[in-house]
Amino acid sequence: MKIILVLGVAGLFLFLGFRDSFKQKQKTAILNEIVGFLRFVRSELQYRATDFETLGQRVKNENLKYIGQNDDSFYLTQTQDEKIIVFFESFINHLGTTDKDGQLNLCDEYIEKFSEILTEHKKSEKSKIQINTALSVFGALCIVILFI
Amino acid sequence: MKEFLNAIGLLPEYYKNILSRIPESIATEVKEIRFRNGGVITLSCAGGNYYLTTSGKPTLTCFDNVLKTDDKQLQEIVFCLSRRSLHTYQDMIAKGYIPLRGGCKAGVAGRAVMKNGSVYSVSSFNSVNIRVAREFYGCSENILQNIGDCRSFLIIGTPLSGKTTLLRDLCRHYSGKNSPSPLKSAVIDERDEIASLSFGCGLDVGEHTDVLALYPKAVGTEIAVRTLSPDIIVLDEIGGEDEAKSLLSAVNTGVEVIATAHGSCVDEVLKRPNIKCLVDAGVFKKAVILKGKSEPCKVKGIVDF
Repeated sequence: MKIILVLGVAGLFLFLGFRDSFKQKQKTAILNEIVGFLRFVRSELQYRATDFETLGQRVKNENLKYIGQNDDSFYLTQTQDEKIIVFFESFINHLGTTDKDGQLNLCDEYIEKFSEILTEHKKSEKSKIQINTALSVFGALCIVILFI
Repeated sequence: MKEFLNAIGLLPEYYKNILSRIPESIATEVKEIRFRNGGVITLSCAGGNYYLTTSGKPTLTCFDNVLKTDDKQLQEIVFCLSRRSLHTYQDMIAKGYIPLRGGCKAGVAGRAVMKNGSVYSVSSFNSVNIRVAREFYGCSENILQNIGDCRSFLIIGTPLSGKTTLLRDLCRHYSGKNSPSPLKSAVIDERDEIASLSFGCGLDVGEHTDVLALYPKAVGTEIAVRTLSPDIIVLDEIGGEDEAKSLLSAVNTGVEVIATAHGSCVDEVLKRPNIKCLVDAGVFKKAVILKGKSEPCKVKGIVDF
C-alpha cells in the first residue's frame, strides 16, 4: 500500500513536470499558427482583396488546429494566455474596417507583435522545459528514495 | 417584396428587423431607403416619403419622434453593407457605391481621401442611399412596338425613370430563350446593376447574353467586340470620352448598341460632346425618351436622330 502511494505521488510529480513542458511546446505551436494565419490573411488581402466571408471559407480549408471560426469571427481555441487572446481579438475586430493599405498595415503590425512574442517565448522555452523535466524527475526520485 | 428584402438583407440586424416589419403594401412601393448622419431614415415611394416611428411603424409625417441615424450607426451600416470588408469594396466606395444583392445598389457619400488627384477612399460616411431594383417583365413592350427593326438606340431618362429596368427587359427580349431568333448580347455592367452577377444570384438578362461585370465601359466594350462577337452591346449611363471612342470602333465591326443616358430630352443630351459625336457618327439611330420618376419605364416619345 505504501509503495503504491509513493509511486503514485512520484508519478504525479512526473506528470506535472511533463505537463508544463507540453504547455510550453503547445504555446510555441499556437504562436506559430497565429503568425501563419496572419501571413495567410495578409496575402489574401494583398492579392485578392478577399471579403470576410470568403476569407472564412478559405481559412476552413487550411484545417487550423488552434484557431476556430464561426459565422461572425475567428477565435483561439486552446490557449488561456490573456495577452495572446487580447491581441488576437484586437486584430480580428479591426479586420475589414479600413481600406486595403490600412488592412495590410494592420496585418504587418500584428505579424510583428506576434513574432516578437514567439521569439521571446522560444528563448525561455528550452530552459523552462529542461528545468521542469529535471525538477519533476528529481522530485519523483526523492519521494521514492525517502519513502521506500 | 423579394426585391425589398434583397435591398435590406445586408443591413445591421436592428435596421433589418425594423424594415422587414413594414407593411407589404408600402415595402413593394419603396424605391429608395436613405440614411443620413444625424438625419431621419426616409423611405421614398411614388406616393411620398415615409419615415419610421421609434416603434418601427411607417408614417408620412416627419415629426420629432421618428428614427434617426447617428454617426456610429451610419459607419456600422456601411461596414455591414460591405460584408464587413471595406477593403474589398474600396474602389467602388471611391466611386460612390456598394453593390448589393439582386441588382440593388447603395450609394455612399462621406469624406474623400484623395491620392494623385483622384478619390482613393472614403474616411467617414455621411449618407447612404439604398436603391431598390425591381424586375418588370414586359416593360419594354412599348418601346419594341414602336421602334421597328432598329436596334441602335439611346434611352434618355431622368433618375428613377426606369432606364436600367428597361435595358434588362430589352436584353431578355433580344437574347432570351423565348426569342424566336435570339441575338448574342454583351452587357457591359460597370456597376453591376443590370445583371447583378458578381455577388450572389444574378438577374435574368437572357440566356444568350454575356455579362462583363464591373468592367469599365470602354475596356468592356473592347473586350466584348474582340472576344465575344456580340450582335448587340448594352451599356448603362454613357457619357465618357473613352466610352465614346470604344463605341465608335465597335460600331465599325457591325455591332449594334443600346445604351442609356441621363437627361429629360434629346436637346439636353446632345449638349454633351461625347454623346453628340456618337449620334453624328450614326451609332444611335433613334432616341427613346422616358416619362420620368412618376411613371417609371413609360415612354414619352421615340424620335429619329
